Amino acid sequence: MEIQDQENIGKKGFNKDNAITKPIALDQATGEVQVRKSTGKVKIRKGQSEEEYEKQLDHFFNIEKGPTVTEVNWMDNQDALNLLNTNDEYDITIKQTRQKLTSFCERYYYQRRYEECLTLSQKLLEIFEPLNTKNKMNRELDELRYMIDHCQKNSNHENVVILES
Amino acid sequence: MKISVPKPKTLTNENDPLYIIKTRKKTHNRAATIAGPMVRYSKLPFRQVCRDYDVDIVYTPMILAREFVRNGHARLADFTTCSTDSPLIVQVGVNNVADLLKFVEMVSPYCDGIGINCGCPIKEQIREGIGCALIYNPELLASMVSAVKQKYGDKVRLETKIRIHDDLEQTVELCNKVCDAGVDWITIHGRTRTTRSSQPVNLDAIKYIISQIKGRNVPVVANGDCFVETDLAKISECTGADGVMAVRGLLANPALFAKYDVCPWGCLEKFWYWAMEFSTLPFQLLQHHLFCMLENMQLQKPLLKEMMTLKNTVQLIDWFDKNFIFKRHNDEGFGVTVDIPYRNQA
Repeated sequence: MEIQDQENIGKKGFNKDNAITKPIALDQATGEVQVRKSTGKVKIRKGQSEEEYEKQLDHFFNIEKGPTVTEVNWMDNQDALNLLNTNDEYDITIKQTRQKLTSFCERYYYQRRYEECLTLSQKLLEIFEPLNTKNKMNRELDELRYMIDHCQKNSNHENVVILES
Repeated sequence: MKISVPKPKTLTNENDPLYIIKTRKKTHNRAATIAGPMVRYSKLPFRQVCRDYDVDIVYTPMILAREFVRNGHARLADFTTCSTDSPLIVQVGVNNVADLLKFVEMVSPYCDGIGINCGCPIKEQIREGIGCALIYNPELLASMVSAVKQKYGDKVRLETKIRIHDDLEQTVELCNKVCDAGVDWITIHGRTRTTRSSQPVNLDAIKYIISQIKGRNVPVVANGDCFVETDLAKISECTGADGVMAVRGLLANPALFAKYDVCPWGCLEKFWYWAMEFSTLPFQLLQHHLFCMLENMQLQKPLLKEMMTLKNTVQLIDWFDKNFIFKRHNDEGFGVTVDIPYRNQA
């Protein structure tokens, strides 16, 4: 695919709608394309060989088993801490993994299951705290501390209500 | 290496987007209702809540084919689904045939159609030849459509979502080219690449384009400025489109196609439920969704401001419990309240 318009970039009267919009296919088989920034600078977007693609394909269908599928109640069938211990994919140095584990606590909290939330939040705080060497996880830890504090209050409140009734 | 690649998902009258778009006027006496793609916001919980309120077809946010086919982390971040996430169109940002064919191979077993983004006006994408750039590159767009349709035929539904040109004849020409290439339907956003979203959508332009390609037997979905329920009939009648796509309107009120002019409280409760069940929504996105819905409900301004100062999901839950009668999924009356149930009405 060729483009003449790119030669005119920056020239007076050139219609910007047509500028820098047409990538030049360098290799149709691999998808390698050349794009050009408004400054005129050329950028090559590397292609992907058949071999590389097959590796991705294999990983996607055989290891990842397709996209992430989350069904309703999927968390009821999983023990968050067990996932951590038995699943190599659960690397808690990765933020997304920590978020996923914290989301178990959030769901307990939302469902007013304060005792389960408290137990898990305490365990996660214990595991996460040592990782916070540069204070980058403060927000995450604050949420866990907030849950622990409020779950304790809510649990106490529930106990009082039960005793009174 | 022998890899067993699953076949594209089977299409039936229940999930075939083309069938739905072609038949809704006959079966439901209205145009097909479609929730368009939004960067960041068309995630699984939002898609599900749209389906609770009469949306026929829902899009994912745009996924970049180049990243998806090369990078497992991108796949993990970009596409999460569930068994009831259907009918679903996965929207793709792409600038070459090879990446598109790979993307279709990987994604088609898990969705009901694929849409090529030819409308995104963000300059970073345009510089890559993605999004709106494609309406100025009809040969490339047609070659991408043709490659997919030649390989998959009717097994994979393929859509192109375009913007209009300053010269509508160019748009007509583009539409004819993608029709020749075998596209299943076309979505037309009635703004040009440079039209601001604050300017009204050009429905006459959509009407004109539809009239010019009527003989092609390719349905058209009209997109732009669908904010209230009455807009559905207005846009469909005015343009003659088979479907109407709402985007910003649904962000503020996911129930708009279910005849709610203002987002009902129950919709917000359902959104919370989906968000907690799928656990895929980062706090900032959850907060923004709730902001859009509550603003649409005309929540008292100080409360709205206060909500935006909260720092995490559990603070949000407490804030909802403190200020409103906030029902959970198993509570009696969950998801049915219409007006905001303030706890301490001033």
